[in-house]
Parts: sequence; structure tokens; C-alpha cells
Amino acid sequence: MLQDRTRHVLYLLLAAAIALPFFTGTVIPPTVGPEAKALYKAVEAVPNNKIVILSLEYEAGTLGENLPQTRALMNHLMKSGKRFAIMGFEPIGPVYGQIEADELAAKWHRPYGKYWVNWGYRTAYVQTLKAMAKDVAAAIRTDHRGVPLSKLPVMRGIHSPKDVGLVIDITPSTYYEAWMAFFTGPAKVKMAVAPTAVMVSDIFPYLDSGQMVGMLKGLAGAAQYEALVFGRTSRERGITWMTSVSMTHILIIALIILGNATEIITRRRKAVGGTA
Amino acid sequence: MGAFITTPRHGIQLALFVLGSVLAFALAMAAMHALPTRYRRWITVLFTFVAGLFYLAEFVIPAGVGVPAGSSRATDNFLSKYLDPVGNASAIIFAVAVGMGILNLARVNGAPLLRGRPGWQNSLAFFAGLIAMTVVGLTRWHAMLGATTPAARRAVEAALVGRLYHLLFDGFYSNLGGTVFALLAFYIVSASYRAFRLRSREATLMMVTAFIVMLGNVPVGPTYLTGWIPEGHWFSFAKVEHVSDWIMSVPNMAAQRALIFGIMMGVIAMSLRVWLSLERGHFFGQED
Repeated sequence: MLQDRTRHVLYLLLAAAIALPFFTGTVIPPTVGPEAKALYKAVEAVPNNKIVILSLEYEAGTLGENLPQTRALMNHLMKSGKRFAIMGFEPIGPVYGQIEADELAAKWHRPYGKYWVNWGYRTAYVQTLKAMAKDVAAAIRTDHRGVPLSKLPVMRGIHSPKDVGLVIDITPSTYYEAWMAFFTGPAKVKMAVAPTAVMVSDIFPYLDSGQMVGMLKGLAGAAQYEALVFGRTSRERGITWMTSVSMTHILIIALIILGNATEIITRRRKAVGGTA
Repeated sequence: MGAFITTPRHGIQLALFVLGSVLAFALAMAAMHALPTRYRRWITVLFTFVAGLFYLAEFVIPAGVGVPAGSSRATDNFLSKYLDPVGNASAIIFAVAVGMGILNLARVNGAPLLRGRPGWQNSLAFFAGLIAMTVVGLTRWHAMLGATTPAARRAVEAALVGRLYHLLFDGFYSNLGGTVFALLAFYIVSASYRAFRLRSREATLMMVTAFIVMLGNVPVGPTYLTGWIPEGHWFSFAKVEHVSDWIMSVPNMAAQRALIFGIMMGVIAMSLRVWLSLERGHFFGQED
């Protein structure tokens, strides 16, 4: 009964920690890490005659992290007028990408087909990537509505992998390994990844080896990227949501300290009781 | 034969070709079903082996082998030209597998619903979700195909089908999916209080490391905790984000490299077992 009550109190505290920043409207300015900075520079360095591929592999479960990452990157791409393509080896990712891009396209005046394109959901990722490594346009052929890519101005001059300036895999899974093995590796195309926070530790070997040029570390990475695009105190989605997450981290740290203090006190009491 | 299969078709020719392919597939499946288990197994083993062999051979055969000089890309061999059609065939098999999965789900959920077994409400929810999303999704998709201008697309979104789609997709699917995943946060908070205890030196080391990495990755650590240390100061190595970065890019990376190496060795062994059909319980094994 007592344990149940403790659990309920903890859940209430967590709900309050998450909700409070949304009501107070405060934001904690993020400090930009080297991985986000490197990705920002890599996007800036993509020449105008090349396209950036955003591979969106997430579903509803990880929207909290992957959607702000997508939004932050799209904001930068649209702000700087870079061409980009959305695609995914999971069916829902490109749908979310289309919704975000539609909204941002209206804000930045970047019409579909001229600045960006949705290549849609693709099955058989190994075979698709192998085919793309030979000829991107021939492997994809049409956009998500069945319009031939040759009719879209955004695809003008985009044929071989050499015309791809950067691949960014926004993902809660390990599709980035397939991208490296079958496309960016053989075709020598730059690659970056925006994983969920739990996956971050897996990516460091690829950053060190140079196989990846940058990374957005979960929601924190999205907030850092927004800080680079809009400034540290902006109230963009990633920065606002990250303030909430910061509060939960403080709560978790406080609970760990409290739990250990309780344990130490209980042990001492038992020891005193045992010797008495 | 290869050209017959891969030649692009349009209109009635395409419809007849698709119909013929479906019929051929159904006949092949019926014939497989009529065969004794051991023949079925050998046919499956043979197809698995040949499919695996194709990709292995295409990868390891040197460039230029079987290709007239100057007629193709420098990286191609005589198998490379089949990569696209084989890739397309794989995509079709994946799509068929999705269809089979839906059929299987319908079979598993159909019986409890029809017989009123315990949990029939869950099966009802499954069918309601499947039918509603399929009908509304396809109707909207069809309407969107005809909408070539942004104004026309906005009109589709504002129509009943568009609003229904957003209710199902944004209102139900996205929120339900996000909610299920977000429940993890409540378990983590509960676990942090109950299980994360200083019971040994190893546990203490792990906790201190977790503290630093956690604080280094959320804005509150670098901004408030060690934000007062100026960047470039001799003591700036102690900034929480720098200590966190060091932990992630030195000890963590060493461990990750070892893990990746071990996992990949396992993947190679496992792939070999699947390719050579040595895996226990593979292909009708349970029917023996």
C-alpha cells in the first residue's frame, strides 16, 4: 500500500515536471555540442547543385525526439534554400516528414517540387540502396504521388550518388548501418545521423572513423540545432520540449539521491538495531 | 525470359501481366502446398541459397568479369545488371509478406470475435482500426492523386475524407503511439528511485558516470551547473559537457567498438546459418 502510494507520488511529480515549463513559458538555452555543430557545418557546405536526403525511419512512438530533429533540419534546409528529398524505409516516416515540410514550406516560401521532394516509402532497403548507389534517379523513378522525378525541377541534374551532398538518417533503428554499407560508403557520400537519445552511444565509433560527419543526440540534439539556426533563446519546438526534459532529468537525479539516502538511513538503523 | 519479365508495360497489357503474375503465384503456392513437407523444404532451401548466392557472388566477383571492356561502369561484373530486377522482385516479396501478415492478423483476430471468446473487444478494435484506416487512407490518397495544385490539395484536406484522415492519423494513431512509448518515462522515474542504489563500487561508478552524462546532455548542466567556467580557461576541462563528451568518446567508444565487432561476428555466423538453412526450426521444421 505504502509502495503504491510512493509510486503514485512519483508519477504525479513527473507529470508536473513535464507540464510545468509549458505553462510558465520559460526555456533553458541549450549549449551546442560538437556533433550538432559539425552537422550544421556539413549542411551549410552542401553546394546548390547537390541534394540532401532526409531518411525518416520513425513511427509515432519516437515522435517526441525524431520530429523536432526533422523540423530543425528542415528549417535549416529551407532557410538556406538547399534542395532536399524525404524518403523512408518505414512507411510512416515520410508521412510525418510531408506534414512538417508542408507547414515549413509555407513559412519559408519553398514550394514542393522546386526545393524539396518526397520520394515516399521504399521497401527492400538493401536492394533499394544498392540500386541508388548506381543511379539515384533510376532507382527512385517517381515521387510519393507517382509523378516522374524528371518532371520536378528539384531533381534537375540529380542522377548519380555524386549529386547527393549529404544523407541524414533520422531514426530510432539501425538503418544508418545499411546506408553506410550500401550507399554512403561505396559511393563516398557524406552521412550524418539523428538517432533517439538511447542510441547515441552506438554512434560514436562512426563519428570517430569519419563515416559520419555529425549527429543530433535525440531531443537535446534538435534543441542544439535550433540554437544554431535561430539562436539559443528562441522558442522553437526542440528548445521548448527540451526544457521539459531537463526538468525530468533534475527530478530523476533528485530521486536517485533521495532513494540512496533512504537506503543508507535504513541500513544504519538496521545496524544499530542489530548491535543493540 | 529476363527481358520478358523486366520490360515496362502500360494500360491493358500491364493489367493482364499483373493478373497473370498473380495467377502464376497462386498456382505455384497451390503446387507447393500439395507437395510433401520434405520436397517443400528442399525447394525453399534451394531458393534461399540461390538468392543469397546471387548477392554474395555479385559482391565478391571482381569488376569487369564477364563485361565487355568499356561497355559498362568500372565497378560492374556480369551479375550487376540483374541487381535492379532482383531488387524489384525482393520489393514485391516484401509487399506480399506485408499482405500475408495482415491476413494472418485477420485470421488470429477473426476467431475470438466470431465465437465471442474472452478478449473479443480487442479483436473488434483491430478490425475497426484496420478497416477505417484502410478505407479513409485509400480514399484520401485517391483524391490527392487528382489534386495537382496546392489549392486543390487544401480542398481535399478540408473535405470530409481529409478531416477523417487527420482524426484517425493525428488524433488516434500518433497520440496513441506516442502515449505508449511515453509510459516508459514513468517506469524510469519509479526505477530511478527504487533500483539505482549504491550497493557496490561498480554500481557507484556507473551511477556517477550516468549523472555526468545525463547532466552533460541536457541544457541545465552546461548552462547552470558549470556555465560559470569560461570556455578556454585552464579549468574548462571540468565543464560538465566536456567531461560527458570525454566519457562518450573515449571509454564508451572503446566498449562500443568491441560490442560492434562481437555483434557483427555473430551476424555473419547467423547469416551463414540462415543462408545454408542450418537454423533449427527453419522451414516447416515444426511439422516434422
